[in-house]
Amino acid sequence: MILRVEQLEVPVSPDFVLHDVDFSLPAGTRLALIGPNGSGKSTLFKALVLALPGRGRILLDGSPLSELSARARARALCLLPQQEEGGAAFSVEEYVRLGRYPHLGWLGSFSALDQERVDWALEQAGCRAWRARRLGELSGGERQLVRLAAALAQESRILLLDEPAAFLDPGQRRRLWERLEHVLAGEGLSLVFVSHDVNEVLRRADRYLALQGGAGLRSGPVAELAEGDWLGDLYGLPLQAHRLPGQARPWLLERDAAPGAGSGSA
Amino acid sequence: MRRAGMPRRGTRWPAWLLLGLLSLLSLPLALYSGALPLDLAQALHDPHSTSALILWEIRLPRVLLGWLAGAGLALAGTLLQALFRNPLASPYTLGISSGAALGAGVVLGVGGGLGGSLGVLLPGWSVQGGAWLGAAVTGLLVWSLGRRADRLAGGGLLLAGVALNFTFASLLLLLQVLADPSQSLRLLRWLMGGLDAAAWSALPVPALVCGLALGLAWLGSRELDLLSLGAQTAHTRGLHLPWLTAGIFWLSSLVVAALVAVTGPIGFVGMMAPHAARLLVGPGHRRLLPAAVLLGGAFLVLCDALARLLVAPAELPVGVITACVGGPVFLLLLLRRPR
Repeated sequence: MILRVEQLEVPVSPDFVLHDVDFSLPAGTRLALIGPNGSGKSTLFKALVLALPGRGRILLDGSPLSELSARARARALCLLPQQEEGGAAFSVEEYVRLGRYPHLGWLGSFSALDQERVDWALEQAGCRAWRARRLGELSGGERQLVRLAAALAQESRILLLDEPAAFLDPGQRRRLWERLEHVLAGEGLSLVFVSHDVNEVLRRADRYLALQGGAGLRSGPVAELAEGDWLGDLYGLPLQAHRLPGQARPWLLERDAAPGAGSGSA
Repeated sequence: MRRAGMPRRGTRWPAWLLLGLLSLLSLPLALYSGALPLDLAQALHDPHSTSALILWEIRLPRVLLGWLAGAGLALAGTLLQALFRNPLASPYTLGISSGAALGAGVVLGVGGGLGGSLGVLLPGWSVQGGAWLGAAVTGLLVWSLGRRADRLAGGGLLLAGVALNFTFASLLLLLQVLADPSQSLRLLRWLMGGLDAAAWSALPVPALVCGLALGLAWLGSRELDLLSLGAQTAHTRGLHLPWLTAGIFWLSSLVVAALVAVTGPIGFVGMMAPHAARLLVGPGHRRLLPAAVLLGGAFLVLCDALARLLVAPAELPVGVITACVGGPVFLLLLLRRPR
């Protein structure tokens, strides 16, 4: 499934218009959305999932996204928002089963195939052992894995993850990415994710799209992130690329931080 | 780390047993409660006896109306809490009950001496008609205000309801001040909510509305589950929100209008019953809806029985009992509710 966004312009409020957004996402590609807070990354996700009205075109395999029903859109795109308020009282399995909604019939009947897919998603996300526990009982990292399981149960071809590892400790962050990458590779899914961690983007994405003030600034292969000062200028932060022996991709660190001692987050 | 009060999968049968017993026992208990004793054998064998009159013409329609009102208000509360993802959402807090009360209050006030232009405008209107109109107009107001604010997910609609609630409460006070003393008392009594107007003729419309609403809501229980996760998640799972939110809002408004028109506004049932049911059977609406309905029905029937017993041979408005019992119980539930 190929997602193509052409000259998208979506007025969100009188003060904010998402504009000049242009990118293509071939099947199996991992695209990172980067840019300072308020640059329009989450808004772009909303525009995709809700098919918000505006100018330009959003095409899925050549067909306009806005012409699809809400369920058909959900079978193509699944958004994992940064935060989700509800659901604490649901059991893990009940919550993940709700991910099957776009595949259910009119009366919401749940087939053996649906259950199979739920079991698979729980397994892939590593939360099968907690299936009877309530979501509210889990830690932030465990909850994020459950939300990933629900997204996988939805069987969308394109995953949109808004800062999926934002509140996780380094160990949980790594485990989340490992599980995610395993599924992406196995199922041939595409991924668009938001991250403020430029080193995470360097390692987890194939391409990037930088946004600033609601506008698409530039895009390209992630290797471009380490070229020149443009990324540091984008965040208002002096960044420098450091290459460590045996590692293919550089680490971007603040200029006054010693290699290995500083945070990689921009 | 599991907190008390939340059931796990497969451990819900005690909850259903409790709900079933409560519903089954509340009905005969309420039939026997009242200032006059009821001889059931006599009532069944002699249709012209006093007991028969008490059973068939007074107690049974009243108990059935009480159950229906409690069940309907619990249903409306469950729907509204899913819609707003807010434990405070109920027919009362959204102003729909107050709107219905104002409608009825205008009719009562007009009949009681306000007269003048309103009396000309509303000749022959019944209290029930006024309540229907009040609920419908309020529903329309709350809905259009919420839509204009475009903040449904952020609780705009709930805030609009709260604001209207205060306004209507003030207007009702004004009506009471302007009406003559006897009508003012009648209005006050009606505003407290009660089942004393129960008659067989009062049952069909609320029963039909509540039955249809429960059936529709149960068919949409997966949609309600998704909605309770938040608008954004519901969207991303493929839910078409505009139709669903409008449908839930109007369905619950219709239920409230049908009930308030007969019983007056009765508070706390619509807020408390869904909470208590959620603690018993979990958040999934396929179980939550019938549980809340059973609980709401039994609760109101028992409250009404208490209202008839406490100051017999007189009786208290059931709304006073639901508030007195429901308030502390609700606070207790809030303190014990899971994260």
